[in-house]
Amino acid sequence: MKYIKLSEMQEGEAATVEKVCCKGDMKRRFMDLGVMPGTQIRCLISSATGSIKGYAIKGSVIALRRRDASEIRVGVEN
Amino acid sequence: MKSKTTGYDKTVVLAGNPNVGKSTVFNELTGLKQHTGNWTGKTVELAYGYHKNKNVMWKIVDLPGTYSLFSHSPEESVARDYILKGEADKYAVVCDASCLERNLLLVLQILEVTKDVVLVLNLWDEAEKYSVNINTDRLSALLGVPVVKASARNGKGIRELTEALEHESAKGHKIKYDSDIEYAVSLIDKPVSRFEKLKIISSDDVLSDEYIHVKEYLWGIGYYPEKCSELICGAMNREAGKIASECVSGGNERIRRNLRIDKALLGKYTAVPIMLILLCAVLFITIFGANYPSELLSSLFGYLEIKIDTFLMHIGVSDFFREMLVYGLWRVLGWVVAVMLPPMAIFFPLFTLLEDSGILPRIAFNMDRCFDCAHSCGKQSLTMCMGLGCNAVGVCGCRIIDSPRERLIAMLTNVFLPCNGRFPMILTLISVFFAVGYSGLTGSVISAFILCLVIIFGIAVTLTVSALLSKTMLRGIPSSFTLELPPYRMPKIGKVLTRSFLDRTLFVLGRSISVAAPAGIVIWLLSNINVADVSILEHVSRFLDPFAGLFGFDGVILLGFILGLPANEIVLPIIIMAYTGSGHIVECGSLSQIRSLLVANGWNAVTCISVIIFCLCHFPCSTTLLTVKKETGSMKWTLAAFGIPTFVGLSLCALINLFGLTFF
Repeated sequence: MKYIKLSEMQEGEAATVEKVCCKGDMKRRFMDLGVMPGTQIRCLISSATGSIKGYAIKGSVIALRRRDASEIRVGVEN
Repeated sequence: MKSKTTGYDKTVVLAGNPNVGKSTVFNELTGLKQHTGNWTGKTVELAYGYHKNKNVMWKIVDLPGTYSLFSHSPEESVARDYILKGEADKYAVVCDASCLERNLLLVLQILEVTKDVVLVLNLWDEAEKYSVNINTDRLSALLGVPVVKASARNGKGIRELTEALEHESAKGHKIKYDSDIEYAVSLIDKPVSRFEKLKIISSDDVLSDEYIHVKEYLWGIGYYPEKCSELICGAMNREAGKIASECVSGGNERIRRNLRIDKALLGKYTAVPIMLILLCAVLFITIFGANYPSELLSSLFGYLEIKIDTFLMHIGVSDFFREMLVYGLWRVLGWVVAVMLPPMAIFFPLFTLLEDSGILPRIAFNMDRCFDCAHSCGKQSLTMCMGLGCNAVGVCGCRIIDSPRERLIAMLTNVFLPCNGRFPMILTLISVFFAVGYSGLTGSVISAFILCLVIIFGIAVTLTVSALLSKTMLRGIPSSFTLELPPYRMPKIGKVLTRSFLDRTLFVLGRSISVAAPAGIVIWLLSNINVADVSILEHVSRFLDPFAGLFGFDGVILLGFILGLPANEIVLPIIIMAYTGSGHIVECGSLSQIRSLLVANGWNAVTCISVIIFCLCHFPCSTTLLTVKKETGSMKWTLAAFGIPTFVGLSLCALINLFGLTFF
């Protein structure tokens, strides 16, 4: 298991959320979407520059900017 | 018991995540043509409707979509406040059957408020297509509330829903939290719902806290608000996961199938060309399709004008009033309808198609990088798309943006996208000066292409001004946001046509008619009341001449824009009227007639470009300004919404004029 930021995931990679590092409203929002330690996340699609990526979370597709996604640490199987 | 004053017996509230087809359920229940869309932020005001089942008259309230009752955006707090008030008799929570687990979070939260819940598993057909299986009996047993399968788009499940509403309260469902949290909840003796108690525990505002003893207990064991909300939310998430794993199987199809289209629409090399082709296509269809109906309407109004004129003469109305009504009111009205109705009746359905099929959020995804650089919200591109239809609608739509700073930026810059009221003017000027000599299809293609450039210029101005605002008046870094990419859905063409026509086209048209008619009279009076043998209109335009000259205009053009404040559609007619000196708006006339008239009054290509740019960048119409006032509640920002675009437009025109004077 290696730990990276959610924003560093490549298209097609799957991972498990390890820690949500942000605070306040954004943490709240992530929790509302079901992003908590233990949640399975898959990176589906990336924009040309990788500035925004689409992730499969609990059956729906949510797009996050790099800055926001970097607040989430995920564990990827080696 | 039927209350006589209100005329309904019971209230049912429709709640649910965004994009689950809540509004479709609402429409099917009420028969009311409330528009339904496929992306976050559709229902901005609460929509009401009525449904009669047996002897009970139900009042149906459609709430804005929300992910959670611990809400964030102004839009979501509307939904939260309504649910927490607990006034409704029943709460129908609409879920997307193919994405149940995420939806269950809100269901569980609402169940902490009330047990009068009916769970609606909407989009059941879609779930079947994605081979999702849900054991509804088990789900109903676990949640302790009735569960209804529905496919509102196809009118299925509505009867079952109304029957379920008649049931007595079920037993409901309460989540078991960590024992310390449960103890803290029991310490709060206020008669409020369990959910409100949980909110008190997890809120971090200490000052207005009457439950300091509860807080002290929690602090004592190291349960700070942040930790409490994590524990509560964690329990809810686990519960949702547990229920979903017991009742749902399958569901990966949904993501896999949509990904194939996403690879093209959001792909590294394909995204930009596809978006540009889409923009061009929408504009081309609008322009080409609007040509013929516009001419038809215009001749219809001309024909009716003669009839009305003869009729008024016949019944002996004085010449002054007859001319005021016919040449003032009727002609302006005719112009607005003939010029505006056809493109609008085509544009709005096209926009609705994009919306319902799920393409709009993808546009936001592709455009996001630009907005990130401008330090604004990626959802701004959605409000910009709405602004292409009507800026007032666009400003109102800014509620989907959570951060107040970014919401203001989106509102103040919305006007840089030309609305349907300004399209025709820009288009006429393009046809007159740049596509002249080309007829039919070629002319439309060239016009659509140039119009596309104008809109891209508008987008560039929006981004630049947004970036400047982020560095000056509205300094700040971009706040976080999440953008849901809903599944692609085949829109119901028939419904799209009727809904977009009834809700949007007629609505916007009605509004512009109501301002165009009085404006027509005012303009007629201005141009027919003479002071020292010259009309007031001409006095004012002469007075404005030297100032307007700085920007490459004449007084007439500037006056046209000023008088066009109530409705931008009448700017060009006013200009033409003032040039012909006829004292009333002349028949639309052919493009070549307009061209020779404008050229005779000193227009050249540079003037035309300046006017197009000023049309793109000037104060918004009065309706939009009023909307900004209402949304911001501040005079200062309303003035900014007036001043910023005007300043930008005048500066650009002054530059173009300087450039033009130097080189031509």
